[in-house]
Amino acid sequence: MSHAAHGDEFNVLKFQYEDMDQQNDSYIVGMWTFLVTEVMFFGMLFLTYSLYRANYQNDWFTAHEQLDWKLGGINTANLLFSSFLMATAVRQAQLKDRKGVLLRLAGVLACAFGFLVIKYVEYSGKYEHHLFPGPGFAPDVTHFHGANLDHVQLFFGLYFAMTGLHGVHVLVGILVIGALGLMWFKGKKIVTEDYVPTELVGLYWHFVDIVWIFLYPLFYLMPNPSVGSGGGNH
Amino acid sequence: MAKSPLSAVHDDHGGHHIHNNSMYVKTALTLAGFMILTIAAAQIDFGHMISKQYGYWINNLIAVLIAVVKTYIVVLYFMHVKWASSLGKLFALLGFFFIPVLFSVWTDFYFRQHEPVAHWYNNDYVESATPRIIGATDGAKIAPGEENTQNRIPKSVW
Repeated sequence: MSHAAHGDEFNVLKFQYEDMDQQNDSYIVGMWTFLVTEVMFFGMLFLTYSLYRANYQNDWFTAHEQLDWKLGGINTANLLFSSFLMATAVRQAQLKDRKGVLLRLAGVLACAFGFLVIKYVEYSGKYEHHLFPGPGFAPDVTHFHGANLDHVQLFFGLYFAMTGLHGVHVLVGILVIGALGLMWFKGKKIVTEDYVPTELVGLYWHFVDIVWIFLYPLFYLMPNPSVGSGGGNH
Repeated sequence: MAKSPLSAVHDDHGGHHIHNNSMYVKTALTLAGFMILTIAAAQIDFGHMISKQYGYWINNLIAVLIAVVKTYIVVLYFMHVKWASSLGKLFALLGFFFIPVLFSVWTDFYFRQHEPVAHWYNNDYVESATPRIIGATDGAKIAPGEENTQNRIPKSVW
């Protein structure tokens, strides 16, 4: 307990670890354990999605035409760029380059806010067209070419649930990256002397990117099941 | 200081890997390439070239495969799993191992059709997401606009 005797002394290596390798491994394995639970959290929704998508292919294709693949594509590129910035922020943290880390984290935050702004534009458009599932669900039937509106509602239910949960993760990411940035700004030794806290936040942010990598093609880029089978190509 | 079992699997230099910026740039550019590929692949109808009825699954398969490859690249390079200890690699793999396990619920979806169950609502029929054999319209394809009666079980069956 010699560390506790000198209260203001900062030790990168915590007393319960043998060495830095063991400490870093413990931190990173701990973060991955959390990410495993996140994978299963989202996985349940992807499973639900796959079951209904397989059952209502035609109606879901019709419903998916309401989504703008360009806006989704901009957000895909946006998250990819923010992931790149985050990865290089970790690199600057390894080099103990405080200014470099702060610049890149600011870039990540700007991307995350941009993502939410585009998501807000998309959501409000859906809400105005009464496409939000629930008692207010009253879409203009002429837009759906006679698709079963129950199935269309199911599509938008899962769209809002899955992209909404992802959006919550982006929001949490903003808070966590903001807190990390504040610690770097204040020069807290827990982040400036040890790159691993920055790495852990990075792992979380890359995970958020990975979820979107799947959400984008599944919701915005559906193939038309009717082409060639006489079902009508809208 | 004694080496721990955890660090025994690691290199002995004790430090961490600092990569060149070019590694991150190359990774980002590869991911951007795959992003363009997934958008381009969605514009082409691969499936119906092969099968008129079920061909569009080929497009789904391509889209998911590209997403899996992108995930693999993000995990290996951005998330540094390529340079992680064996324990780190194991835990990174674990999350993706559970996804196929979770998707085994599909077997329930498939076999449930052989198990007719009493109606849940006091209506003339049961409507369910699960396709039923009893009362099904011989698996006829439902055209857009046509009411889905495929999943209904007439009350008379009970």
